[in-house]
Amino acid sequence: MDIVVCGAQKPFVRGGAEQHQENLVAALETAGHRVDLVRLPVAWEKGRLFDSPLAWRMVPVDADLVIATNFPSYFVQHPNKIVWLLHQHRGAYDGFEAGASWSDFAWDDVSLEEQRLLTEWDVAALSEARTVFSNSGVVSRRLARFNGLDSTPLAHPPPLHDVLHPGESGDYVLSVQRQEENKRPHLLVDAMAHVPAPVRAVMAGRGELLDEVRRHVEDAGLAGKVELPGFVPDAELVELYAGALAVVYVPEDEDYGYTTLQAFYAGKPVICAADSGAVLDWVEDGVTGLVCDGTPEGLAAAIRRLADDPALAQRLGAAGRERIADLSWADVVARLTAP
Amino acid sequence: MTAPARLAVHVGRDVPEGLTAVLSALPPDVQPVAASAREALPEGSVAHLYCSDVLPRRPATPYAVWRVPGADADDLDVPVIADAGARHVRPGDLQVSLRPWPDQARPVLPFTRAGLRRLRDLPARLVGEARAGGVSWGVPGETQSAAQLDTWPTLAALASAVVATGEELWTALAWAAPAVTDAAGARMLGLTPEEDVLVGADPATRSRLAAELADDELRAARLARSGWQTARSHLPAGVAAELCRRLGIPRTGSSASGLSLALDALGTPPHSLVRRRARASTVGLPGAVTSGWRPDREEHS
Repeated sequence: MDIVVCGAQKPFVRGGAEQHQENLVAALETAGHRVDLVRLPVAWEKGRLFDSPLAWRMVPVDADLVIATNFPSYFVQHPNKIVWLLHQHRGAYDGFEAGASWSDFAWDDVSLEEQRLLTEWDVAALSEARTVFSNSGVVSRRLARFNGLDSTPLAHPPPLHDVLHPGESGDYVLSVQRQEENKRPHLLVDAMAHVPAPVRAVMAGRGELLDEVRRHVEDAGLAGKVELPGFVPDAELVELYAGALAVVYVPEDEDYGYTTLQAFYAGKPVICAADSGAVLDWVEDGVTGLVCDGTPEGLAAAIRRLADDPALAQRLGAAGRERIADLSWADVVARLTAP
Repeated sequence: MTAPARLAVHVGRDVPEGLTAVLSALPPDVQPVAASAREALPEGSVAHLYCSDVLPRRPATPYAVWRVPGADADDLDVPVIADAGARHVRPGDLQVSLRPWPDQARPVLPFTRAGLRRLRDLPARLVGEARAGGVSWGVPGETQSAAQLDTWPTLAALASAVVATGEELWTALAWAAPAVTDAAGARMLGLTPEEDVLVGADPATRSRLAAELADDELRAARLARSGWQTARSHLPAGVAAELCRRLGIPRTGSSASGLSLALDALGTPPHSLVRRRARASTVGLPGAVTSGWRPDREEHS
């Protein structure tokens, strides 16, 4: 089949969504399809919110199948449209509701009218799809709650899934993420003040808060205990996963989160927070990881628990690895391209 | 320029009520033409619509049948278009509603209406009821306040759930209110109980269902979205679009001049910011303004 994968593009930004789209293209090509990835720029601010959806509406796409992945690419018009929803416009929906600093929606008539109209547009565009899949249970629940639409969660393997492997547990917890507000990197730094030596934290990844978090570490006197190496090459990252005691991932209301799945591929338990969103689709407290209350003290207690009981860490990590054993891109492709 | 696809319309003794409205609402690239079994088919016909109280014996495909209620028709007082499968016909669901859609109505799904209640300092749980004697509203289980009937659209836009029948139900659906009605009300508007509306046999049951709905955000969202979309799908434009889709009538592509149509199809209000932005971005394109914006609208002035 000739398949066009559609996605939004925020110029000069590259994250999980972009990786996801490229991996999908590769998986479809492996299955023998001819595939192209089409991206259009998107602006998230309220005043320019509808420009990109309208542009997608007018884009002629000639293909046998179109797979749209995120806002606003699902506004593309095609008689054979499948949506695999990574996220909607979070600033207008859940970000607004949570009062997130990154949402410019406020409690005023203009914001609510924009939200109302976006809801109407979303319903119209998503209802055109032959099937709507979502990235996770969290994304499906949001779609049901905000738009009254049903969707089917469809999970996929994370990047590096084919090279990640278990290894001997070391004396550090690992965090792999962009250092940004919704990932709450300061939480792990504050928690490490309550974790006795020799346990360390390695926080891999860049992001707009990297310098600020580094300063936080210095100010808290945790320089020897918390490392922030910034960007870590893939090969090195794989070994970091393999040697970790556990992986800490405590984002706020995450859509999917590759870190959780990568940890499981490496046979490591994941410590998350009770409000970490889709991470909780995978992390079951005391089964595949530990769910803390989202405070530094609670996170520190969870880290100490695993540090004091390496056998528990190993057992939870093994259960996590078992949990993702059935994930495969071949299955994803089969479901997305089913007639 | 591509010639429009032609829909051959075969009309028998009786002209179905609403036929003209549906044919008028066909997309601009689809042209209806009268057809007769005794004459040659109009050139360019790509599908057929038979209007009859009996099914055609040897229909040309692809086709749909507009069932004109005959002597054995059930109590439906609206025409029904049979499912337009190219090979077979079975009783269909394309019910046509000739009720006017309320001009000012905008769908407000439960997430946004909860925000509007908060902004207006209204109770988080608010139920509106329309009865023969008038309108009432309040928090379930507490004293209800009476109001004038003309406040109904406001209640339909803000309430967590509503109880209504007849025209008030139609208004409520136009505002995408999670609605409770009676069996006759649901049937008359072609709504599916439990999917588009909740149905209660008596006033007490309907009030209880509305109170439950006000507490169930997920169910309210699904019901509101579905009820609104179903009601809209019964409008002549909705039936015309669905008829074309089922008949597989090929659509020609849109161009820059299709911006206005695209905005209309998404339900965009005339004075919205995005319409102004779209107009500003196309004003320098030859032909875009004259062919893409409707001169009868204020937005054009």
